[in-house]
Formats: sequence, structure tokens, C-alpha cells
Amino acid sequence: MSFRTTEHIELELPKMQKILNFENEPKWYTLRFAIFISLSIEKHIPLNLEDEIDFTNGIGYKADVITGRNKTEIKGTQGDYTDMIAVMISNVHDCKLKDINSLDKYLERHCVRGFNYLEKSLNSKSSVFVWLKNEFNL
Amino acid sequence: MKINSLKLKDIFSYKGEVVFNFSNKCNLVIGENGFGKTSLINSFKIALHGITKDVLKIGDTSLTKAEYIQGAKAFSGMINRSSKEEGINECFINLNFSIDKNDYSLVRTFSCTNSAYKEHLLLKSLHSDLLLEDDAAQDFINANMINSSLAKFFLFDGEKVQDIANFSSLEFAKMLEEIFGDIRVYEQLIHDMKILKRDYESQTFTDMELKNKFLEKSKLIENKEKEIERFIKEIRNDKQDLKEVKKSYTVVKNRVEKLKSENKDELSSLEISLQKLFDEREKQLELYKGYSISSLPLILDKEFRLTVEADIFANYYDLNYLPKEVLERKKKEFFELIIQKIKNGEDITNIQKIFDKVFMEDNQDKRVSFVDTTKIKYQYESLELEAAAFGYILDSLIELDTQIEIQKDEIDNLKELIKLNESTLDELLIERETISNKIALTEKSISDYEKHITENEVLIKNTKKEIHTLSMQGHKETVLDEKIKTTTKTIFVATEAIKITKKKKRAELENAVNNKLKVLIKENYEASFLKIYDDFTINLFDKNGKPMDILSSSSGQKQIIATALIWAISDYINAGMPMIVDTPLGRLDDKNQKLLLEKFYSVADNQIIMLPTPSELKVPGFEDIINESKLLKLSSNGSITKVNEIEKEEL
Repeated sequence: MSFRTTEHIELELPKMQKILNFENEPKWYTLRFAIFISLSIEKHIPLNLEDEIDFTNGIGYKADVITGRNKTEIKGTQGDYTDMIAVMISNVHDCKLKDINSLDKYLERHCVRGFNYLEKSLNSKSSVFVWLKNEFNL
Repeated sequence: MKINSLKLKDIFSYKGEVVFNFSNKCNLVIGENGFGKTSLINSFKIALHGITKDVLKIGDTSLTKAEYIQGAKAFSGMINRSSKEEGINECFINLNFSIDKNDYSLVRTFSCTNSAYKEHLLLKSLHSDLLLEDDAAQDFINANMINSSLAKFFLFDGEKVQDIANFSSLEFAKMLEEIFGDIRVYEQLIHDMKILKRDYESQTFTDMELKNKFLEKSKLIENKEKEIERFIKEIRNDKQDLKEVKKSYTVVKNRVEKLKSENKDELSSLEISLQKLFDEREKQLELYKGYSISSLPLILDKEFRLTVEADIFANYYDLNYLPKEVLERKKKEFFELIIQKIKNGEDITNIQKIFDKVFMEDNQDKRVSFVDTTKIKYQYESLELEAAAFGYILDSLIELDTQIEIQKDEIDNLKELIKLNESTLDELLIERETISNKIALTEKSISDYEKHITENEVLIKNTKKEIHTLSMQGHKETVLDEKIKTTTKTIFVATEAIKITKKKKRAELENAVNNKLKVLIKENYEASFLKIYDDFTINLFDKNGKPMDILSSSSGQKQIIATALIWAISDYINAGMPMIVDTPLGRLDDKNQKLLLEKFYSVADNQIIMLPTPSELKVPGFEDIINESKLLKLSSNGSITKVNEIEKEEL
């Protein structure tokens, strides 16, 4: 299971961590947040899985890090969201996922799209809280 | 005393002879600015006391007497400019007045050439042979009318009256002492008795050597006593300075204390409150993060959540967690197959295979084959999925961020202020140090003077003992001894008399001033009463008995304070002197003008000659005075002033 980011994501990641208030958290917080945002907008803007993405100079992670596979939180709660994320993706794309590696393609594409969407919507002066409220009518 | 008339000839703006006849009560000489009112009041002053320092000061310029009479700088001199052009070189002021029904005429004449001037004063009684000239005439005026120091209480300019309240404590003390003229009699007596005593004492010595020693010792005592007098004056001045310096020290000290504590408490409380906001934000942020990494898409899109939920319930629950419906379905499926197989005579191995097919095979509708079905049920059920709750967290964070921004701004502003205050504080600390040094120096100076006084007193005491010994050696005459004793007693009595008189008069004058102040003071005035101390320094107090600084009062208040002083002092002197007032309402506001007219001018017993401008007459309260007054109107044609008697209807 491997998960790639683009060069652009890696460059802009610190800035985005700050905007999302994750500056003191590991990178996967921001990457998972980007995936989740992409899943949330899918109904309105469907993701084209065939789009070519240039992952050159990006970083390859173990996808386990992104989904929290086999992870248990210190306080004992479940930290492994792999299955939940997989179920979400299977519902979003109405697809079957036979093994865990088949998840990677979806994750990295949603991550790139979610990250771009966040970048377009927020700048260093924005409040992510206000944006979430307005964007998703909370 | 009453002023009957004033005749001016070729003086200031008055050309030829101009006569003012006055009534015994109130007189209004009405004139616009520049029509000769100041010339008139100066003529009164000059008639009574010649050309004094007060007259020589014109605006910021002080002229010499010669410059004033002959003309210099922008001042054209005493003789009317037009008269001077016609070759006239003499002017005079003729004041006719009565004292105790005796009429007098006073003429002060100034004649001048280009290089010199001459002044002549002539005073004559219209009922007797009294005829006095120059110094003798001036002595008569000072003794029977008024001396120049006290004249400021009777002849004054309403616009400048507050200058009296601007006097320093020492100036004021000096002025008040002038009022108690009879003290000077005692002082003169003490002086004369001391000379007489020394004379008697020296006569007791027949031996020249002893006599010289005595004179030498007496001279020493006299010098040391003079020194003590000087030291006492210096101490008085130093103490006055010390009082002022200590006052400014307290002001600076209080400002320092205030600045030190000011804003710091507020800053600390703001910082605590900011920290609380941060703590609260941290809590809310933890919740936000929890949602963000677990259930975010399910919260942000409700329809999506319902789809996922239905999928999980339908397809990931069946094998390990059999809800009733699933169980019913499986049971039905199982028995249908069993019954069919039994009917067909199948053996038990095949029945076991059927069991495995129904209960052990994965659900074919499950799209994610690797999902741990045990885990996903618990996970889904433990997820926070309420969009409203997440919205509330976001609201809290938005509000907290706004509050944090505001609080940070406030803290920044406060820090800026504290920084500014710190530079002010540095300046104040330097000022406090300087004042503190000044206090120490002044206290040392006082202590040095006191030490000198003690040394001198010891020296005087010892010298007196020595004189006594000398006196015993050379004593010859018992009559002289008695004379010495008598002069010593007289000196003692006169000294005590001065002390008692001062004490009594101080209290009387303080009472009189406060009575007048009560009448003149308005409800909203801060000032409440005035205190005159034993050394004749004065201070003003507010309603709570807190000392006030007269010099920092408004000019309206100062004018009221000064008027109360003038009124009380003129009453106190009780000389029956006419009061001659230029621009009587000065720069007072409407309320104070009315107050002054109704409470002061309307009730004054003395003859009054007021020099108002026509606009001053419009002030409410003037009407009654106009009805009771003789009206004289000044008119001006260039530099020539005329006067006409008018009726009130002509106003």
C-alpha cells in the first residue's frame, strides 16, 4: 500500500497545515483532510480517475500512515480508519475494492484534488472555520 | 473722602480744559475703548501719587519717568499731542475733594522742555490757610487720603484685577502687612527705644576703656540681631520654597506611583483572560481535529452519510452481527434448503455444506472485501456524525478567534501605552530626583540658618552677660539704670503689641474676606474659603477643606477672589475712599458679571466712579446702577477727548 503526493503539495503543505490549524500535527492530518474535502464535494464535482497527475518529485508514503491502518490511539479508541475510508470510497465511486492496494489510486487522486480545492478556497488570512461553515452550509 | 471734580488740562487725550463733576454716590463715565478711559484713571492715580511704577508700565514696556513725561518709544508723552504741536508745554490735573466736610484742591502740574521736565504739587484747603507743596503735600495725601500701596484696592482696572490673585504668597503677605499701618508705629517705637537704650547704657560708663568695650559689644549685638532678622527672613523664604517644592514632589511622586501601577494590572488581567481564550480554543480545536480526521465527509454531506450508513447496515453487519431481519432471512433460506435436501434424501455432509454456504460465506453485495466487519460496526457507531455539533464547534472557534484578535490588539495598545508611560516615568523619576535634591538642599539651608540663629543667640546672650558685667563695673547712676529698665520694658511691650495686633487683625481680615467671598461665590465654584496665616501668606480651600492652588484657578474665579479681597480690604481699611474702576466687568462670563454688579457694585457704600464701555452697560444688573448714577459720556475726535453729562434716556 503506497500513497504519493505531488511536488506542489509537499511545497505548500506547511502553509496549508497552518491554514487548517494543523501546524502542530503530523502531515497526514492535512493530507487526510484534503481527501475528506474531495470526498465531500464529489457529488457536485465528480473526480476523473483518468486524469494524469504528475507525481514526480512528490513523496511516497505508506498509505497506512494516511488511513491509520492498524493504528490504535493511546486512549484506546480506534485510530484505524482504513475500512471506513474504503467504504466511503466504494460508495462515492460505486466500485468494488478487492484488496487494500486498490485504495491507493483513489486516495492519492482525492488528496491532490482536495488540496487544490483548499488552496483555491483559502489563503493565509482565511479562517478555515468560517470557510467550512459557508461552503457546506453548517 | 469724596471726589467732587477732576479738571484735566492738555494731558493725554484731553485737550484744553476738560472738567468732570462727580456725584457723591455712583458715577458712570461711559466710553468706548480708546476714548480716554485709561487716561482718566491714570490721571486720578497721578493726581494722588505722581508717576508711580504702576503707571510707568504700559503693556510689556516699562518707561522711565522722563520718558513717560516727555515721550519716548511709541508713547507721545503726557502733554496732549495736539496741544504740544500748538506749542503748549505744560499740563495739569486738578482734583477737588472733601474730607470730613473740608474741601481741598490739589493741583499736580508737569511742565517740560525738550531736555528737562518739572513736576509741582500744590494742595490747599478751601476753608483754612493750609497750603502745602510737593513732599509736604504728598505726605498729607498719604496720611489723610491713601498711600500708593493701598491705592490698588481703590483704583483698578477690572480687566487686570485678577493680577491681585496672581501675587505670590510673599508678595501678598507684604501687601497685607502694609494694610496694618499702625504696626509701623510700634516698629518705629522699638527702633527709637533701642537707640535710646544704647545711649543710656553708654552714659553709665565714665571709664573710656569700658565705654568703648561696651559700644563694641553693643554694636556686636546689634549686628548679630540684624543677622538673626536676615536669617529669619531667609528661613521664611526657604520654608515657602520648601512648601512649594514639597507640593511638586508629592505631585510627581503620585504621578510616578500612578504610572507604575497604571495599566500593568489591566495588562495582567488581559493576559490572563487571553490565556483562558487560548485554553478554550485549544479544547475546541481538539474536537475540530477529531471530526476532521474521522467523519468529515459524512458530516459535510448528509446524503452521503445516509448512503454510507445504509451500505454498512445492509452489507457489513450480516455474518457477525445478525440483526433480527438478517436472522429471519437466513433461517428461512436455511430451512428451505434443508427441507428440499431431506426430501431428496441427501446425506448430512451435503446439509453441512448448505450450512456453510448460508452462514459462512461472505455477503456478495459487500463491495469492499477486506473490511473487518467486527470493527466497522463499532467504529461507525462511535463516530460523531452530528453536523449541528460540528457547526457549533466551528462557531465557537470563529468567536474565540475574533475575541483573541480583539484581546491581542488591546494588549498591544496597552503595551504601547506602557512603553510610552515608561519613557514618561523615566523623565518623572529624574524630575523626582531633582526635586528631592532641591528639598534636601533647602532643608540643609534652613537647618544652617537655624544653627546660625542659635549660635548668634548664644553669642548675644553671652555678650549681654559681658555688658552686664561691664555695666556692674562702670555703673554710677541709678537714674540711668531706671531709664534703661524703662526703655527695655517699652521695647518688650511694643514687641508684644505688634504680635497681638497682627494676630487680631489677621483673624478679622480673614473673616472679612470670607464673608465677601461667600456673597460672591457661585454654587458650582470649587473654592470655598480663604485662610490667612500668621505670616500673612494666604491659601484657598475647597468645600472639603482641601487646599487649592489659586494660581491655577480660572481667570473668572481669580477675578472673584480678587474682588472679595478688594472689597474686604477696602471695608477693613474703612477709609471711605472712592472706588474708581476701569472696565468694571473685565473678562467675566455673563453669570459672574451679574453677580459682581448685584452683589458688589450695587451695595458698595463708598463713592464709585466706574468707567464702563457702552457694551458693558447692556449686562443685566446694570440697569439699577444706571438709574442711581450720574452719567458722563466720553467722545473722541482723533486724539481729543470730550466729556458730556447725559441723561439715561440718551444712552
